[in-house]
Amino acid sequence: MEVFRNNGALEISEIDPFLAELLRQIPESTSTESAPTAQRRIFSPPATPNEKELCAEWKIYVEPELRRHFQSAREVVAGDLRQLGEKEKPFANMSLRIPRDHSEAWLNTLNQARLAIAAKFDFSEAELCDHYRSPIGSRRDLSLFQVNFYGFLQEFILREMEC
Amino acid sequence: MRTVRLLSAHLLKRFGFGIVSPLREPLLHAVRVLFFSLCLGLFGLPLCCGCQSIAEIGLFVAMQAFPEIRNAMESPAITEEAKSKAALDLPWNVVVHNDPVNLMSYVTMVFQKVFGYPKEKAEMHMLEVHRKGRSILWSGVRERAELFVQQLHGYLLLATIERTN
Repeated sequence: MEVFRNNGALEISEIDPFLAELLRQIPESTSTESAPTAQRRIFSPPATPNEKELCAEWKIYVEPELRRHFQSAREVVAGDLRQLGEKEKPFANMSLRIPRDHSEAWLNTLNQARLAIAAKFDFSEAELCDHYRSPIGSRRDLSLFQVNFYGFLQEFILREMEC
Repeated sequence: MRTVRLLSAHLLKRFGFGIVSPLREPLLHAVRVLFFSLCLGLFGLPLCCGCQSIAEIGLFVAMQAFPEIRNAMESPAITEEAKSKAALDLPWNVVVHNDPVNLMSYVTMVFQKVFGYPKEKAEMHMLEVHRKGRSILWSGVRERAELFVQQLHGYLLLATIERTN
């Protein structure tokens, strides 16, 4: 896989089918349905439980707005990811072009996915720092690899945004 | 009698509006010095205000005697209601808590965007979050603090607002 800048966009080429599949799973991985731990992490309280009024108002007025914001970012990413479904040969390497003005949406959606997966599997800090763990083992190992792979993409996008 | 009437007229005229010249009117000056000496003894009024009008002297005496008047004159015109509102509003901190999932570079970028901090300051706060588990990013009125926390949640950081002690 290669990542480079091309005409103001971030281009990822030579994406093998395995990584392409992980990329396709980004929007789906953000789901917090039937995962209360992920739900609690994505929509964390704005204050300590002592501030009951503030927390209650937050749920009514701010959370719906945050949901819309996250949904909108996911839609942008899902739109870009359609590029990965256009190849006729199923096992050929693919390319993905991320326009510069989609960078914020990508960062946000990748973060949603990473936080949701990490909360669902309750990864420890030590596990999250273990970048050399093989993804081939269990579903947990694969999910950890997914979190690290999405983090790697975030780093590239951040570097691109700084330029 | 005539002398007394003349003296009264002079007192009214001079104390009310004019400036007393101690060389031309030694009697008036003596009365004023006596008055100021009395005030000095009672309220700490300085003797050097021999050229002030009665209105100013009256105000000064009132300010010395009643602290409420002095406070009202010396402080800006803020109503009690506004003061109490400000007291309620001021002590709120925006706190960001550690989260092992969020990337350090991402957190730094968010601090720069939300608070407009330069990279060095944003990194300093990010490292404080990483090492100490939390960092106070901003302090001030509640409404603004809530807005910052909402923005930080939009970037999926663990952020809360807290009252300061």
